[in-house]
Amino acid sequence: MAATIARNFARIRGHVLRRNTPAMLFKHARRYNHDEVNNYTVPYFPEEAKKRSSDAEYPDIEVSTEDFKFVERLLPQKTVPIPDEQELYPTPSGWVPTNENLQPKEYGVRRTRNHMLPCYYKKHNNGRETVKIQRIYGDIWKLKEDLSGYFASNVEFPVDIQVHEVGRWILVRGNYTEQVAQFLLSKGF
Amino acid sequence: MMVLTNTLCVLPKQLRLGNILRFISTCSKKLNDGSYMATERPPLPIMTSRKIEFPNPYIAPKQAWLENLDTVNSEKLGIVDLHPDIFGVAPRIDMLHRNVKWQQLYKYINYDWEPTRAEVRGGGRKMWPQKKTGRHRAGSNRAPQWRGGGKAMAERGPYSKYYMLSEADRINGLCIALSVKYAQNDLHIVDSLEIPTDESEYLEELIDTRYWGFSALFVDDTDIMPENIALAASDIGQFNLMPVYGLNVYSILKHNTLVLTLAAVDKIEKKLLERLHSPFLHSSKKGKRPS
Repeated sequence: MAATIARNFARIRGHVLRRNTPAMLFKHARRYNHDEVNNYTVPYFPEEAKKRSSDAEYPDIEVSTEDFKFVERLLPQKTVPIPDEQELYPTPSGWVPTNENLQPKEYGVRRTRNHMLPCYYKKHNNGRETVKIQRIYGDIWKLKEDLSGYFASNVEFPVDIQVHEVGRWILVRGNYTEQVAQFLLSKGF
Repeated sequence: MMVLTNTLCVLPKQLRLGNILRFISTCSKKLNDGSYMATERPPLPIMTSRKIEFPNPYIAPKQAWLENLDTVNSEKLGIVDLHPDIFGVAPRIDMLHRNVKWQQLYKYINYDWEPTRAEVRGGGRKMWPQKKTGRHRAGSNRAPQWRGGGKAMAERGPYSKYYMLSEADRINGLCIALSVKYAQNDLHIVDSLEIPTDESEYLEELIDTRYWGFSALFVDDTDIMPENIALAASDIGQFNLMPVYGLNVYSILKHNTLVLTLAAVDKIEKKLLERLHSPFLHSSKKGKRPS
């Protein structure tokens, strides 16, 4: 597309370039003055039309954007808002905000854009159950150590943990969604 | 920024930084020895940081020089902060390939066409009796296994290869392409696209002295480009101009160097972040390439 633009400029080189000329979408756009059309009375009385026009002292129509706030209230928000501060955590829905004081320096797990923990349970077709932690920053192996330490003290059985260093995710074997979430919350993420 | 607004109080209040810089850099002047010099410029550095929406708590902002185009040699006007989620993501080459493939295919019409056995001339006669010849059962000499026969499962063009990549993939692809350019030192940020002359030699010399490679893509936030650079780039096929709304993965990868204006960086970052934090962005299996 840029090539096309450049080629077209080559064609009109030496002539004055048009700048900021608005495109004429309809042929009628120039032919009629919209105010004249709107204020036209049938049969046409110039005095009546003058009273209606927006230039008159008491115009027939008043343009107001006052009520547009009610429309804005209905429009969906473009980005997910930051949740308001609550008096008591966890909230009735069980949501807890991040706590920067608890967070270790070596690594970090970032909340999703919906302010939720990025750990996902999946039941595979062969019956295998996994929990995946995503959006990991920093030393992923330290996170794995801490997680396995948490499992050692909280789960009876040994838990297999897979670390994908390039993809920045950790896969836990078995349905340990609750334990993983509790671990992440205890670390302040 | 405060210094800028004080010195340029003649300008309307609504002007953004990019526009102010654009206004300033038009004041460049040709010297007697043939070189060009920017005459009026606020005290350097113009900026050393930039406000970043939706900051990443674990990665510091990426930094880039703010340069100029109105002199052949690069002048460092300041430092720009770039969002790490857009200019510093992991280079997933599979995602780039997915985007490039989509861009090539969605506008591609396959015109390949070959006749079926019904469309090949002849073949209406049974070649030999069904039985007693000792040969195979042949009903037509235009069957696909025959020499000169029709084609089974042939390409029946014209056939559109159009499909839509999912929005998540398109946005991811743009972020990765920008990050790759930044990581390879092929991303340059300039105050504006104003150059002092409309000669293409100036642009060539500028790109040669700055080692910007064989091709460059200049991106501005508007589609009404400054006259000089439009005329200068029109003579050279590998220097191209593009508004922000035309930015795409294929063009970013095709050009050696990507030159963004500050206003373009603002707009790109704002739009991409808005989509990345949108409640409606989903990756879907629908957007994948039909196999």
